[in-house]
Amino acid sequence: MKNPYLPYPVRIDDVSVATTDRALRTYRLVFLNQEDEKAFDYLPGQFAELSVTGKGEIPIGIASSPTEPGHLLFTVNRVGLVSSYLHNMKAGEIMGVRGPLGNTYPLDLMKGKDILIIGGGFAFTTLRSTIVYLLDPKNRGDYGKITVVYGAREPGLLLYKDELAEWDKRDDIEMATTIDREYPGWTGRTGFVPAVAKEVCPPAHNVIALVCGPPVMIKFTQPVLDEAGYKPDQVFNSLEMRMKCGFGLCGRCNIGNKYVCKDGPVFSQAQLNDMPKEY
Amino acid sequence: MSELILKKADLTAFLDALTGAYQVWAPAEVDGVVDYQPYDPETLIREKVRPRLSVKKFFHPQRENMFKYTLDPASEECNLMKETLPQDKRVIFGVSSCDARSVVLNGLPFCNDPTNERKDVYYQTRWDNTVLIGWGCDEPCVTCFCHATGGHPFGEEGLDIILTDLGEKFLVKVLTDKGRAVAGLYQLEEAREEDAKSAAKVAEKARAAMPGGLKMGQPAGQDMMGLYGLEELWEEIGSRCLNCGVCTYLCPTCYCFDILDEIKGQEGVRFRIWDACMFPLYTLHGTGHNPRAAKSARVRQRFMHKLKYFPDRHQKKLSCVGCGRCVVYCPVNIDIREVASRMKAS
Repeated sequence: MKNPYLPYPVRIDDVSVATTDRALRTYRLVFLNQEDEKAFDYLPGQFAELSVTGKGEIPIGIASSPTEPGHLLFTVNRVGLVSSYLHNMKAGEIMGVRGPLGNTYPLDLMKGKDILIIGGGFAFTTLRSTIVYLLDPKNRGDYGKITVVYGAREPGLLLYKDELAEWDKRDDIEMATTIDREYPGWTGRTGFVPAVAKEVCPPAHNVIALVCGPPVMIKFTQPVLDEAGYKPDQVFNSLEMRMKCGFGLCGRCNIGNKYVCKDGPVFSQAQLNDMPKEY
Repeated sequence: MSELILKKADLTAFLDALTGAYQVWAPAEVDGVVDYQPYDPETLIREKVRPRLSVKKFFHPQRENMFKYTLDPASEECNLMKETLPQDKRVIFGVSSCDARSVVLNGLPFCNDPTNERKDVYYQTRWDNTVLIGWGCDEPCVTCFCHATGGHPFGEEGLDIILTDLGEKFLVKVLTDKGRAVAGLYQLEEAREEDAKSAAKVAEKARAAMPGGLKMGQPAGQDMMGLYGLEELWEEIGSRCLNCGVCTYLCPTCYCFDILDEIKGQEGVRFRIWDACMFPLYTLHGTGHNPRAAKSARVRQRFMHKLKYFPDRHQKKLSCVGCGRCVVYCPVNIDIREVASRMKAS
């Protein structure tokens, strides 16, 4: 019987500091065994448990896309025991990855529709995965216009800046990258995510919106989408919870009768409307 | 399956016969507490008792190692997890029907959820390697309500053998192949028809002595958001509750756990350990945010999980076997029977 708690061994291939406050680092991980990479069959929106011997596991969204074979990407905020230790690990060290866990963004439902992606702060990891996936030549034709609203407090806190710049140059994706307020040297857009979303969101018919960000961003973005005529089954949110097992057993990540780890982390607004506000 | 007779005078001889092939556990009193202990004919309790802790620990131990590993950089296996599966074959003697049923109910999320491709190998391995010999409850306690949760004082679900006390002897009803293998280790005579009839009467009498009118199943049929929104109820119970967690630890069907690492020198283990929804740390995010920060929210979680969320996910079955341990040991007298009867969405 396959042990669902057994992490796949991986080697840290590269570590890079992701934000100027140095609180986030991005890890490129390579599987030690090729058959494990094959077994780790994932799609954008899913997460994994990163495992460090002697410390424990943490649930982190997968930032790479399955269209980028050969490695996995995770961007980790330094918060607790495991993430702090991870921040001191270096390329070449061995750790573990357990997954993929949870559901995905609704990639089938999104086919033939325009896509609105709204992200804030650090919560851009699985959205990066989604954008890379959608822009892949094999997939791009399946989806309509792509609009991305991504905001952070200041320029140094934007993740994946090189890629944001690349996407900005393309004409098959509209980028609205924003900083909360004026910042020395920043020549781009300023303003909070909900305000920018209001400005750039496409007309509500035939759109799917993916939203991932801090609670305050979600709180003020939802009314904007409501006002623009987006129906609850057009809007998908990715949630976070404290987790251990990752597949609906250890008990702590439930919202009502749903487990964020197993039934989520992606929930439509329609689903959330029928769930307690316990998140 | 067969029905046999075991004379009470032969009870220890029967259990002795099992000790070669199995670790045998039976109720015994240690420091004033009746619990399952390694079988010893000297301390064996020869009457029907129900230990304070249920059989949960044999399937989902309070602490269970899952993996071991070395941090020694000189080792080729440095940082690689090695599975540590339990190997022991065990017989647990004197199990109550409610406890046996809890093994099946916990088995739903652990191993038998058709919506989950992942199965808990530790639980399944222990289940495969454990034989439960039941002893029907001929005198249910006033705090017992197995009958209101889908069980019966002589229920057979989850048991491999069930004994019925017929005075000088037991009727031994063999229920599974695992039970047959155990019964075959000792020469037992076939039961006569009148023994089976007497046993059925004992069971009927026990069931008839249990009170009617309990509404344990009421919440399962109600609207989730309506029950969740019974603020007054949750506030009232939450204000009494101490969040001590004794209900969750004694409960046969509370199965929440935490997973942690521990190292000694360069050797490490990853283990799981019981956890409880009563504790604020259980849901605390790294950011400091806690989705169930209030005591009333945690109390609500426990009752909603047992009586609504679990039934919603698992064939309408309650995550409660009516053993009444939480009722007996709650320091502030919170009674799940009363809570269930008040869980009525308006």
